[in-house]
Amino acid sequence: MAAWDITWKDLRLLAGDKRALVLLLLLPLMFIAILGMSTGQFLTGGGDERKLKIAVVDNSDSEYSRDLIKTLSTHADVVIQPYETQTTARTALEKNQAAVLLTIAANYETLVDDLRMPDILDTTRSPKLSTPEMLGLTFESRSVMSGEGIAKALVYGDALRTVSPVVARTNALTRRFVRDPNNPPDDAVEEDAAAPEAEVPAVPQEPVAVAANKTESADKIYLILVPGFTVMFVFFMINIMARSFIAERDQGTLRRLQLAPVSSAAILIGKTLPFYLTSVLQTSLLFLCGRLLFGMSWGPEPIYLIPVILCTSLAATSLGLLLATSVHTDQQVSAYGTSLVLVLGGISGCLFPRVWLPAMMRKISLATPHAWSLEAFDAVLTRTSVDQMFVLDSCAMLMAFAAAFFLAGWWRFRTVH
Amino acid sequence: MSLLEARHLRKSYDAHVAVADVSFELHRGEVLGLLGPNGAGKSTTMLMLAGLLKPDGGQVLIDGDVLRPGNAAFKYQLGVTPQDLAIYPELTALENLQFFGKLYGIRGNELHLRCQQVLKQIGLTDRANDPSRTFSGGMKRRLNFGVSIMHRPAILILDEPTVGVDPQSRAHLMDCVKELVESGIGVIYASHYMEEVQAMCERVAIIDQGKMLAYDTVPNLLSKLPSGLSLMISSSEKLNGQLSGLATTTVENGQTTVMLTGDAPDVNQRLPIVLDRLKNAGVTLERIESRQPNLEHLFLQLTGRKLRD
Repeated sequence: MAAWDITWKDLRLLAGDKRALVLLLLLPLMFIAILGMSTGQFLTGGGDERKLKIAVVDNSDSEYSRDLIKTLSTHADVVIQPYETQTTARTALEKNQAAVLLTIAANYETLVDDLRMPDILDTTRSPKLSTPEMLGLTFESRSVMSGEGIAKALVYGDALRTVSPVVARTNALTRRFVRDPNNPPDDAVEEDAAAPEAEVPAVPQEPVAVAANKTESADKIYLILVPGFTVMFVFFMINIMARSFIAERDQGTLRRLQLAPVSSAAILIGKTLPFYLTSVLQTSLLFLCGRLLFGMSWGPEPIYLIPVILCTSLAATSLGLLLATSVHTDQQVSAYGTSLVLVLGGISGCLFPRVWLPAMMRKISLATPHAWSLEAFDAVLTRTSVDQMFVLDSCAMLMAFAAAFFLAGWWRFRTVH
Repeated sequence: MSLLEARHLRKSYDAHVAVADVSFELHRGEVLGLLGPNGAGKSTTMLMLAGLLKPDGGQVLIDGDVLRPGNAAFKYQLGVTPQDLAIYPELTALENLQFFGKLYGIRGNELHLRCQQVLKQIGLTDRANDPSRTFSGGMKRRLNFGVSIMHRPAILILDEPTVGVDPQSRAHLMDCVKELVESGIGVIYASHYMEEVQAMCERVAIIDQGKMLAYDTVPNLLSKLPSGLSLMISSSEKLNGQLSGLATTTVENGQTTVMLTGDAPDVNQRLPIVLDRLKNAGVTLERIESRQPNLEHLFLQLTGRKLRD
């Protein structure tokens, strides 16, 4: 009962602390909105803003080059911008209207016609096809972050896809396996073509294909931004918590609490609970805003968000308790607390997608509660079906972190205070 | 049986001995003064009495039972007004009282009635719903005191309760304490304001550098000091020991004082002789003061230092 009295008192004080409310609720929303705008997802002109824009100058103007451009245009995340001349295309590149410039050489058709089946079957050792440049496909970009590498891989893959049937038709052995767009194949050819499937040369897979078990909305930036920034800002709570603790001590009211017939555990629970409830509210609000403002998906089974939110908040507030009992001044809170939040957020992948982290770093990051939380959110939000065991395991890890932090904080409180 | 007893309390912080050997008793309806300069060991003693600090040696007994830190039963008997304010500035006076009252298990109508009672007692009924951060220093002190008595403690420990308080609030606090003592509460009153202690307390323990220098009733302590007259003179250079056996001469802050101590008939007998010798030596008498012994003088005699040094 005493713990609840302390909780209620702190909630009352927290509600009057406008700076804390701004930090906990408005700031993460602002971050998410700004990053959403930066990535073209929010208020900045729809989906095309974050697509890979490839300016194309087709000097060949052949059936083959048009086929390549048509195939490139089928990718959802690519915008093809045709230009008449190299000069106008380069101007577009300079003005950031396009990220990469693809120039199709005038002799593209001839180069394709010169290809033979061995070139297609073993591209790495082919003297005519081992790089896109050999086919007369050249690339230009203005910066290293332009996505030229992705564009190159995409164009090379599509070039192989479009030239393979052309080359196959020229070969007596493979001709019968190739469909003629003007003459649909008869049943026999269909069957023959299906039977020796293993012998058909493998067409390179699309290099930017999305993992099979991801949902259609998995590529939406908010599925990364909202959990990432939510987790980071949930852990920002530790600063406010530590400050509340220091204020309690500096005001002398901590001593009054200790003078009252209240156990140290009840004091700590009472001091932790309001921040836990605020944290749960904060996380829920951010996910709600993610849904309402940014159209973010809650995954196939949103119910699993509940344990992840509860356990993340538990770990965060327990870490806050440990920090609160370890520091002595506001300056220490600013120095240690903020560093802790940013370092742990950076290591764990709150600031950028975890898939970008190297494998070793991803393993190291599992030493932080943030990483387990992000993994769990990812499992709930971006999969076609939720791996319940994985989510529960992650929650168990978060609870283990919470228990360890709370016990360490309790020990500090009993020995220091 | 005494309400509270401190037996040979000792506490050290590394090499520094904060409390060397402090013992005293507190009875119901009594105000016991703890007198000593800043850093004498009063606050450390208070913390041990309140169960917030474990003594290195000695014991605190409440109603004959040894106080053990963490034993909640003792906490209901103790009320502590700390030296520094210990209230929530963002909460109103009423909310502060309600919150701390609840921690002691007071709830519902009883809590409401008790809050009104305490607010009246500390003179803050009109400001009950104002945040305490808007209060004057004296009002905050009164609220600080009110919080300590919310749960009707049997023992009240007041640590410098009037530091930085305006005369009006100080008088109000004194009246509150007297009222509580009349109702049977035992009060330990720590202060370095000897006038307050002398006015409030039946018995006084004088502490300096962690040691107890004296412990007795105020009249008994003062009886050990001589009364008499102080003669302020221009200089003692021309006297050449002529007052030997009649009076003592001291020089402090450039002022030479001839002190005649003893009971009234004795002083009356010596005064004309001393005045005559001063006149003969050509020494100018600037003024004469009557010397009434007080705790300040006692402390000076015991330690050779003033209380506020």
